[in-house]
Amino acid sequence: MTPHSSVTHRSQLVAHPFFFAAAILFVLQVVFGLIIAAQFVWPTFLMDTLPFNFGRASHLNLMTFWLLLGIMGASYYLVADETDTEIFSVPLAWANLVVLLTACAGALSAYWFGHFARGKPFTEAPMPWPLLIALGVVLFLINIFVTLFRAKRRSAITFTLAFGMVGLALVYLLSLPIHRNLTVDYYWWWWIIHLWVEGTWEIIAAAIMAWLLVKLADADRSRLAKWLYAEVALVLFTGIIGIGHHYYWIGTPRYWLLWGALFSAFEPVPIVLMVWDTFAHMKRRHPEPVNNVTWYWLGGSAVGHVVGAGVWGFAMTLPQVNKWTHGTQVTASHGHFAFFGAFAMLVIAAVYYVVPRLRGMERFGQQRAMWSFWLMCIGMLAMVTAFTIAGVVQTYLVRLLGMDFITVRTQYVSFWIFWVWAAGLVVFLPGVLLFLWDFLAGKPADQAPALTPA
Amino acid sequence: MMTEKAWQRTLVWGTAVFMVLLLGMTVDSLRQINAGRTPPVTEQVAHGKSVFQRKNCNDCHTMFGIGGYFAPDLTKVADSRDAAWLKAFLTNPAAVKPGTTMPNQRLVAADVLDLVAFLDWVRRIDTNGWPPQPLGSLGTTAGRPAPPGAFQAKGCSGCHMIDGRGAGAPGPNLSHIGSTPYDGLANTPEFLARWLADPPAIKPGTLMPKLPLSPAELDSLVRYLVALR
Repeated sequence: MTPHSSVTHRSQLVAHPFFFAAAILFVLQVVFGLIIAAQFVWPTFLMDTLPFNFGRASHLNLMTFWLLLGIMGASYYLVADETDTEIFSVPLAWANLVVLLTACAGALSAYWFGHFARGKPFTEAPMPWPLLIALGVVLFLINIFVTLFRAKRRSAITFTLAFGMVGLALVYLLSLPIHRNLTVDYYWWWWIIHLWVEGTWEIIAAAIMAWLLVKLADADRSRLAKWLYAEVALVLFTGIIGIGHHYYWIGTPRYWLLWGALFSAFEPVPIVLMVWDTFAHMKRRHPEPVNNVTWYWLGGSAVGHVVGAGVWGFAMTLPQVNKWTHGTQVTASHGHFAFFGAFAMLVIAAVYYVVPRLRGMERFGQQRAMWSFWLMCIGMLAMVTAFTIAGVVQTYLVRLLGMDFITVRTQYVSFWIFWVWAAGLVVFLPGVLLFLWDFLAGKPADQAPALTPA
Repeated sequence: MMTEKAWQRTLVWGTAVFMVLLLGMTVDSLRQINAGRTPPVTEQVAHGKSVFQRKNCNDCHTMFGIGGYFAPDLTKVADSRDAAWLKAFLTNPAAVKPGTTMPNQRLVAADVLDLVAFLDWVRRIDTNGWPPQPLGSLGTTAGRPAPPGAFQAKGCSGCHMIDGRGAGAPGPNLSHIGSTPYDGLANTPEFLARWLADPPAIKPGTLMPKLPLSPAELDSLVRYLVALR
């Protein structure tokens, strides 16, 4: 990076390698997604070198790693900015990054070359890599907390961010041991999966969203702080017991059907409030020049969050529906929509706000970025549509009619997964590659033609 | 009007309250899980589980509906497949099901037995009735022939109705197909066998698809149809 950067604190520059690593892993994640989608259509494709289960493990793990790294990069920049101090230790931040990348490489090597794993989706990484992941997160926490404690300024945004980060780490540690009883094993596994994506990650995302609104819009800090606390509180008050929607069918007591349904029915409420809040703030946007595309990703994230997590999630959360749709491509459609909308789009928004500043410019040229935005959004929409149709067809034929799973997969589901694959390859992947290109080669707006002059 | 500090306190204490509630429910859930909702875990079952997880089976198959959506759900697989079948299939999948895309996991004999024990253990877990009985399943009516497995597996009741169960359209009602021919087509075993093997070859433009049927499946379906009188 350059001496021309316009950051106020030099340590903020450490966000750059985090974002860079995230962008590379994002591309890889999509490549593995395309491989396993292809295996639905041509089941013998790479069957021996990379069987579906290890391709899927790679796809899921790469997503977790790139989103985590993106969140961490954004957090380092954000915390220095909010506290108006340097980050406690730049070498520690580098160690944090290297440890996590090592864990990622180690886990992927175990899948690709050893064909072995720890066996539960998303957390397949075999020992010792989970310990390294925990170490990476702890190094990050130390760095952030020392910075916060030494700082003169505290804010609702940094408080919320730290609150979410501690939760993320604690939940991960709780879920490290493997239990002999599969039901118990999956009981605790949901503490990571659910209490991450519908708990701590939501909190962290809300903090990053709020911070971007402060920077980009004339958000009133005191009002924003109350909103932030209220939204995050609602996320947790509905989401913590909302974990029950994962405890319907795994061997857990029957009362979870009631508790899970009751609380998760309200989970969309805070998400809707967040969207309303975001758009209310976005109307009062700053005259300061900023990437138009940052706005697009921010607004897109709000919409994707409410539709992907809120609507698609709610559609299958009640036990009366979930009984039939559970374990089909309906879940895959929700997973893709929600992760992309709530987290991926927000991380990309943060990248477009932060990275030009790290390079000493206020914004990049817009044209490539806009292409990337629309390709990714349209590609994801097409993929989610195909997944949803695949899931509904599968639910009808397998669950309602009782047809054989493999017959339905090969005769009906694979047709729709072909369209997932095609949209992923022709529309989504080019969007992601353009994003990486823009990341590497983004030029100041005055050197590149702007699509919409600010 | 609540101050910022008050909102912060609401967040922290509210979260604490709900976490305590979740922990309480967790204690009770784990107690019930260990007190009969799941059978006792033997050494063999525990080892079978570790083979299942080491081989990452759960990223193709689903278990309790969790997992890869690429291969069949295994929660109740031991209900429909006996130990001998599971053992043979896990030892060499292609020998049992030619053309299967289930890779040979090259398991030693002891691992196979432990996996079978593990699957039998999972079968006995109380999953609150999941997966549900398909609505299209015919069951058996007294005095009527029992539908063969292929009838359900191929989804026949998605288009045909028998004894008031299944779909009324677009296929004809088959309740008495053995005694009353349909649409001028014969209902002899020989004809039905040729028909099921390739319907469009006999009646171009028919909505009845050419289904992949093994000789044994074809035979079971013909015998079932002929018996429907």
